[in-house]
Amino acid sequence: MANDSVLSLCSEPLREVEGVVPRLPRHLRFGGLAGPGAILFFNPTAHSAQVALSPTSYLATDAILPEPTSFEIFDYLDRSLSRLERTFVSAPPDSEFALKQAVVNCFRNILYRACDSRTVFPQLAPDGEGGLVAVWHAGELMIQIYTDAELHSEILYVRGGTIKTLHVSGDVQGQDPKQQESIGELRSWLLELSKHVNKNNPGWQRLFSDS
Amino acid sequence: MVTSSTITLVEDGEWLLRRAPNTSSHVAVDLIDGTPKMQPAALKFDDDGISVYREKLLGAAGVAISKVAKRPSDYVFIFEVETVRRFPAFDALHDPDESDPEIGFAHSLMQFETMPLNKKDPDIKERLNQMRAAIIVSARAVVVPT
Repeated sequence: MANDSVLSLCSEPLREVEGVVPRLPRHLRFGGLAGPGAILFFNPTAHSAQVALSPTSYLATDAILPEPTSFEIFDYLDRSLSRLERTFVSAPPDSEFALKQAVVNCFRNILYRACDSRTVFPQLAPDGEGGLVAVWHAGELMIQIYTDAELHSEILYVRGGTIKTLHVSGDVQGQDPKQQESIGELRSWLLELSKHVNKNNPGWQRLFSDS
Repeated sequence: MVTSSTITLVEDGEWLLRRAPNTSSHVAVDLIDGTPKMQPAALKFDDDGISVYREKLLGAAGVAISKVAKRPSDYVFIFEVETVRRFPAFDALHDPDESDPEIGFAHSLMQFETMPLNKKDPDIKERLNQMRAAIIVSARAVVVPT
């Protein structure tokens, strides 16, 4: 796991840090550990980590981890989430689709933990009740991730008459074993769905040509 | 199942119609065949439930199902009432809307056994989301924007 590799790079006790640090590459913004002289950012999903000497000066050394991957889906997620933020986070709080920034952040963390370069693209939208939903439709197979206004996330898997549900409470930055188990299950579902889509519609990306 | 001596239930075997605006918040596409699919926001559970129309009554009155679309840009999706009834706490009740002279006679509501539905209850919320997911997977668009 990427986190073990990250920890081995630092000799001082580390503490978790939150939030997005400006001027860092986009794909390194989704996890962080801070020691006395450095902040180390990692992205377990992308199997990469980098060290920043301060939160605003990006002087980094790559911590090489295996399994290099494409960031194409993460580019798509970034664009889609940025669009949602621009449109709905700034909306009047009493409007139907208004969102809190914390909901977007929590939702983003789950997506970044669950997706990898093999994942076909989800469609992201507000649920009309202060939450966000990511959905993958593939015939009789569907996966949804809901994150509600209280930062509780519900993950639904539907295949024909079978419906399975997973729950993730709060943010997924931590190492709660139950959360990690749920994310692992979600990753296996997404892999199954992505294989199904690639087999039956290898040109699925054309559906996102304007995204 | 929701029961009351004054309530008329939608009959078994009927098809229900649900309108959805043409926005990415309400309609997505299938990754395999590109067909439109409802998003959860298209099945928002209001204080009185989720409004639908009975295809059987519209057909019997000779009213085209395209009338369920209020705007040319709307989608209309169809699904079986059994999809709702598969979840025992939910049902579909006939609820004529007298303010709508055109299709109000076919109006119905999908409701929970105790109304209003408490969305803060995690168990109820999970059951609602499962019911909506089953509808979303099975529903197909019968009216698309013109």
